[in-house]
Parts: sequence; C-alpha cells; structure tokens
Amino acid sequence: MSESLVIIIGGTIAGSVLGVLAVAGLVASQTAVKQDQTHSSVIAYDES
Amino acid sequence: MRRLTSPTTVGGVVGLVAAVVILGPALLPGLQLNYDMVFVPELGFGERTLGVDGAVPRAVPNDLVVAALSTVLPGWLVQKLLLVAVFVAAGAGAGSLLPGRRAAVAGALVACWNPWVAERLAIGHWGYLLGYATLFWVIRTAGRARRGEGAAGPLGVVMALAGLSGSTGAVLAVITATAVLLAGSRWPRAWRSWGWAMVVSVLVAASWWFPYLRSEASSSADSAGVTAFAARADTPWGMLGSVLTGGGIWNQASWFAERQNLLISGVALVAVLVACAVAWGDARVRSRPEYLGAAVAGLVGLVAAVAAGLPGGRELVSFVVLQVPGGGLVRDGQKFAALWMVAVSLAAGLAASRLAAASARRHAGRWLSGGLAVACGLLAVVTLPGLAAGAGGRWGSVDLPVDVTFVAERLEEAEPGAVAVLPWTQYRRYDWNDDRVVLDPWQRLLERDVRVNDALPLKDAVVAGEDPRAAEVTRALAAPGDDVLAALRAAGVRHVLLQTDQPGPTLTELQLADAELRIRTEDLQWWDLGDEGLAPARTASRVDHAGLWLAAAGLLLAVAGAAAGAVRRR
Repeated sequence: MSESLVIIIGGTIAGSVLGVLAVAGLVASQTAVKQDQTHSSVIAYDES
Repeated sequence: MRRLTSPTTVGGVVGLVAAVVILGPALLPGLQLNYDMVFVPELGFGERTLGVDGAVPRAVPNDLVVAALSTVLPGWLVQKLLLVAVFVAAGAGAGSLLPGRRAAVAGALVACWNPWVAERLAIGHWGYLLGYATLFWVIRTAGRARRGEGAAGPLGVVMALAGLSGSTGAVLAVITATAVLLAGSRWPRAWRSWGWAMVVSVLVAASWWFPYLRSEASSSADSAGVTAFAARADTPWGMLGSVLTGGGIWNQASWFAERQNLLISGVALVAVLVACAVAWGDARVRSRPEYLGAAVAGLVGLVAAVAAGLPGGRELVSFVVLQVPGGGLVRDGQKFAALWMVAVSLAAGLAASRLAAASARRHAGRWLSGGLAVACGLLAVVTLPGLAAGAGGRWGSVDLPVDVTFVAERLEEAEPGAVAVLPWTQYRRYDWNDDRVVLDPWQRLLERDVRVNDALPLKDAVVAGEDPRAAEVTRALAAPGDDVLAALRAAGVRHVLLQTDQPGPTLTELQLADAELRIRTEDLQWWDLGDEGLAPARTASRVDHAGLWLAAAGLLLAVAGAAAGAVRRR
C-alpha cells in the first residue's frame, strides 16, 4: 500500500472519529446540565 | 532556532492558543466575575489581603500578589495575564517534560483542555489553576535536581511560586516534589533537594498557616462541608469514572453538559485509561524520576479526590477536617485530581509519542504519524467542546458600574468602623454582570474592615461560616427590633451598605430609621449608624504580621538559593 494511500485512509478515519465526536459533543453541550429547580430567596453557591 | 521549535516552546504556544480559544470573550478588557473569581480595578493592601484580619486566610497570598501587580497594572489586565499564564505555563511545562514536539502538542493540549481546568475555571478558583500550572515545573526542576543535572535552586524558586498561588498550590507542589524526589531509589542529594524544597514551601506558606493557626476560626469547621464538598459524578460513569477524567467537582453549576452524554464521557474515560496503559508500557516511566514521580503523585491525588466517597472515607475526611489544624484543606477533595490530570497529560504525550514512533516504524510517513499524535491531544478538545469561547459565553468581561466605584471611593474615606454588606449572604447576581453568580466583591473593593456573611448557602444546605467577626454581625442582625443598630455598633459596625438589587436577608428602611442615609443610588444605599456604643476596631498586631515576614524570608531564600547555584555553575 502506498504511503499516500495510508495517509488518506488513516487521516479519513481519524478525522471522521474526531469530527463525529466533536459534533456530538457540541450538540450535547447545548443542553443544560440537569438541575433541581428550586426557588430560594438567597443566591446559592451551587446554582447556575 | 532550535529553542523556538523545542517541545517547551511548542507546548507554550499550544497553551497560548488554548487560552485564547477557551477564555474567548473573557479576555476582552474588563473584569471577569464568576463565582469565586473576583478581581477589582485596584486591589489594596488591606488587612484581609494581607491575611491578618482574623478571618480564615482563603485568598492568601494570591490576593497579595494581585495587589502588588495592581500597583503597576489595572486590575482587569492583571486578571487576564494571570489566567493566560495558567495555560502558557501548563502547556510549556508539559512540553518540557515530553520527548519531541508531537508529544508536546498532545500533552500540552490535555494539560490545558481538561475537565479539571474547565470546572475550576467555572467555579473561579484561579489560584488553584496557577498552582496546577506550576506542578509541571515542580516535576521538571525536581527531576533535574534528583539526577544531579541542576542544583536545587530552581526547584526552590518554583516551590515559592507555587506557594504564592495559595494554600492549595503549595500543598499540591509539596506532594509532587516529594513524589519526584523520593519515589523509587533515593540518593542523598534527593533528600537535600527535598529538604530545600520543604523549607522554602513552609516559609512561603507561613503567609496563610500562621494567621490560620492564630485565628479563632481554625477551630470552627462545619462537618456539613465534608458532605457538601465531596466529589460527585458529573458523568454517567459514576464518581470514580468522573474523577478519572478530571471532573467530578461537587458544584453542579460548574459542570459541562456534554459530560453527561454517555458516548462523549465514555470516549474520554477510555482515552484516559488507554493513554495511561500505553504510557505505563514505556520503560521511561519507571526509569525517569519525572514520570515515576508524576505517576505516584497522580495516584495520591486520585485517592485523595475520591476518598470521601470510599467506604469509611467520609468519616476519615471528617476527622481530618474537624480535628487536624488546617484539615479544612482536604474538604474539597476533588481539587487533588489536579495531580492526576498532570499525570494524565504526561501519559497522553507519551502515548502520542509511542503511537507516532510505531506508525513511523511502519513507514506511515511524517504527516500521518504526526497527525495521529495530534489527534490524541484533540480527543481532549472534542470530548469537552463546551469549554471553548468562555464556556459558550458563561464567562465574559464587564466594567463596574459608576455608582459602585463612586460609593466605594466615598466609603473608603468614611469615619472609622466596619462596613456590613447587606443582604446578609455571600453570593450576588448583578444585572451588569449578566446575572452570573459571584462572590460579593465589596471585601476587595475596600481596604477597610468589610463584613460579608461567610456562611455558604447551597441549594439544600448551609455550610456554617468561620469568620468570627461575620458571626458577630449575624448575631446582631438577629437582635430584636430596635436593638439591631445598637447590636451592630457593639459588633464594631458603623456603616451599612445595602445592595437593593440583591435578594436575601436585609434591613428595612424602618429598621434603619435611626441611621443617617449618606448616599442612595439606584441599587446601593450607604447608611451611617453613628458612633454611639461603637466597639473599637481590631487592628492587626506585629505578631499577626509574622507570617508575612516568614513568607518574605522564604521568597528571599528561594531567590538567593537559585542565584548561588547559578554562580557555582559558572
């Protein structure tokens, strides 16, 4: 197998994996962390 | 030219790029204020900054460093420089420990872009982050000292810098230096270097341990904090899986949503385990004290981080927090995962290096082997994309409103007496700060005695505060009806600053009827309670400052040691 073919196949596989993960990660990062919805008259340290 | 392409420089450049991408809008002119990240236009050298006000010295001596830098630079610029320094120092430090540029890129990327860094940035623990960045340099200088390639002088300087980042940085550096110098076979020079590092560390750390031991607060830790601050699962992989990937901070508000995705966090976990396994297979890990020491320190950090979740661990941590002086340092155990992430960063770099070498042996070509190595580092980025651009806009830069700086200037010049800041709670959400939760900034805006409630309100509990003078105000505010103002004066409070745009327990204008309203703006009211029955102010004694003198001696010793070593080499 020629070197250029190895580069193309290897790069495509590695790039695809990273790309899929990046897209999945970006989509997941758009959803808020699940938090208990509580109302308090005081601002809590662990509320976002 | 070789220096420009050295692994250290390459790692530093990766760190700089990571800083720009991660901090994004938070690098614009203005102050980044979120959770415990509080900077002000010009931090003064008040007793709180010096750690001699009798409260628990939480931001000592790192706030003192900020105050010193603020004498020549505006506060916002000091903040940006310190935050960028975290990434550049971590990246360059990781690069300096790794064989070759490809490994440096992968290692630096993981060192700068990981859940530990992300979550500590989100909670505003900038001092911890600076301490984390120094760990790579502790490993480097300790390794050189142990092999006899360099004197212990540079190690002393790095230990001093770690100490300046605060108590957490100092403790992490001590563990790291000990592991690198003493793990495995030992030589007399390793003990000498270790002794030097400890002397410098203990002296510089006197800036916080000395006032802490003298403080009444040192015996008032709340056991509720052990439960509240224990590491938690921020991924579907449990607490251990979360901490293994560098996450697991107790504070849910500092979590990143993508880590709750089974696939994304699963890939991150597998990547960490594979990197560690591949790196462990490298003979250099057991022969080079830097790698062996990083591995030992990393395991110690991992155990400390998850200790409160192990059988009997919570009881042990509770005992340390409540019974051992200074034991409060281990309350937020997840911070010790910093040691683990340093080891993981080096493992990622070594794994990338081995991968590149293996592909090169199969004649895969420079580009493919290099690309594979970089892809190892990029895994850290694609499994935590929400960190980019100031965590997707969670962090930004703002200017303080004019009325805040105006009132601060007037209050600073006002008659003697403490300032109580109301509502009587610790955290704020200002609309001018895009409603981000932030620690009340008034203790840093003013040099004088400012009392803020240091009880920590959580969603489901309150962790008791430790500042005896804040406790006096708590009791005064609980006094019946007309007695409140007199009780506040008896606690040494003459001025009340009311933030009318903030929720929480406060005083009504009716309760303040006997006080003089000095300034009223849209969101602020400054009330003068007068001096009748005002308790005299407590001022720090010469003995209180002894810790600072010891710290200064430690810094001088570190610099003198490095200079003497440099002269000897010539």
